[in-house]
Amino acid sequence: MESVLKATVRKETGKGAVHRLRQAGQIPAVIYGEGQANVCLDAREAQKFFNTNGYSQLITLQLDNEGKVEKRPVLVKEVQFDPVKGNPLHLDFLQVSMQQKVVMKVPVVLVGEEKRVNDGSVIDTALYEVEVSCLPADIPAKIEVDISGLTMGNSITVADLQAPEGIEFVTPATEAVVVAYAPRVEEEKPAEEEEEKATEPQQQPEE
Amino acid sequence: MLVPKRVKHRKVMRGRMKGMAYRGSQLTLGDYGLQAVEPGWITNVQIEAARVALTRHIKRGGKIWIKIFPDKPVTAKPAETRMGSGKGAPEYWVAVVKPGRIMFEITGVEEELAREALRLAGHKLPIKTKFIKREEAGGESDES
Repeated sequence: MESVLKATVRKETGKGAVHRLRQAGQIPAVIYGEGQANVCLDAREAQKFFNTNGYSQLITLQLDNEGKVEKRPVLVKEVQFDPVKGNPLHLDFLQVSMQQKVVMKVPVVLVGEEKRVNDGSVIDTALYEVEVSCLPADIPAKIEVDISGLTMGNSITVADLQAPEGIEFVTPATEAVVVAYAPRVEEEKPAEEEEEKATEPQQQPEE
Repeated sequence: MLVPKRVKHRKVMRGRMKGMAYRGSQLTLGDYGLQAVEPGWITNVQIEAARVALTRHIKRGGKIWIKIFPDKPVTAKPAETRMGSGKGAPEYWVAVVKPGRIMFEITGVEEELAREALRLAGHKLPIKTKFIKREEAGGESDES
């Protein structure tokens, strides 16, 4: 399914101009790669779009250039977030050629948790995204990792993943994606030791 | 308790806490985190208290990461001392935290348990904090 996002070409650049844009409910963005342009997106619409589609899919950017509408295939190269509010502040789009392979980070999703025999182990996702190389049209929305057979002390590496057709993993094959380890048991230091430490707060490190 | 092994200077100036924490403001290791909403100095005692609150509430299972380190020495003069005669002796250690900084991360537990554990840990800190979780579709959610 084609994901279409509307954008408008902007003439103004610089700190003051993008600040005014953000106040007016827009997100500044830039396109580079096969074509270049400074653009802006409607903040509400963009947030809704990325909440449903994520940031790792091919997007058709419907670019409004003073009345002339053109469509450009782009990938999200970088997103700057507000550290506290979490909303995007700026986006970098990479305009791609549909015939050239690209490298993209795709989110990992764990499946088969309900089928897994509960052996008391803790499942730790070591890798939340894997890098794949493929044509822009073939970029998967997610890579599913089946953890139904994962037992304590074992892990699933990139080599164990099933690559969809036309897709190669760029992330090293030896890298662990999911690890099942023995649960941590709450360790409490003896009370004496705690007291000892509390009495010497001025313990100085070496200079 | 977290204390640096060795330092270059025993005493340092106070500094300013302007701006936001652009580094360390995204979840990296865990699924849930505790994020600072305002700036402040977090002492090593407070970090330890928060860690104990977290581990006691989770009991067993899960994995915890402390993402801040108290590397700044704070000095104080003894009580009833006249002013002057130089800077006081180092008393304790603090981590400088700016808004947006993720201080603790957890994984391997249910969301409700993580939320409550991080709420209890947040009460041990001198700043306002909020719960943050990793979203599958895109980026992090900024729930409080």
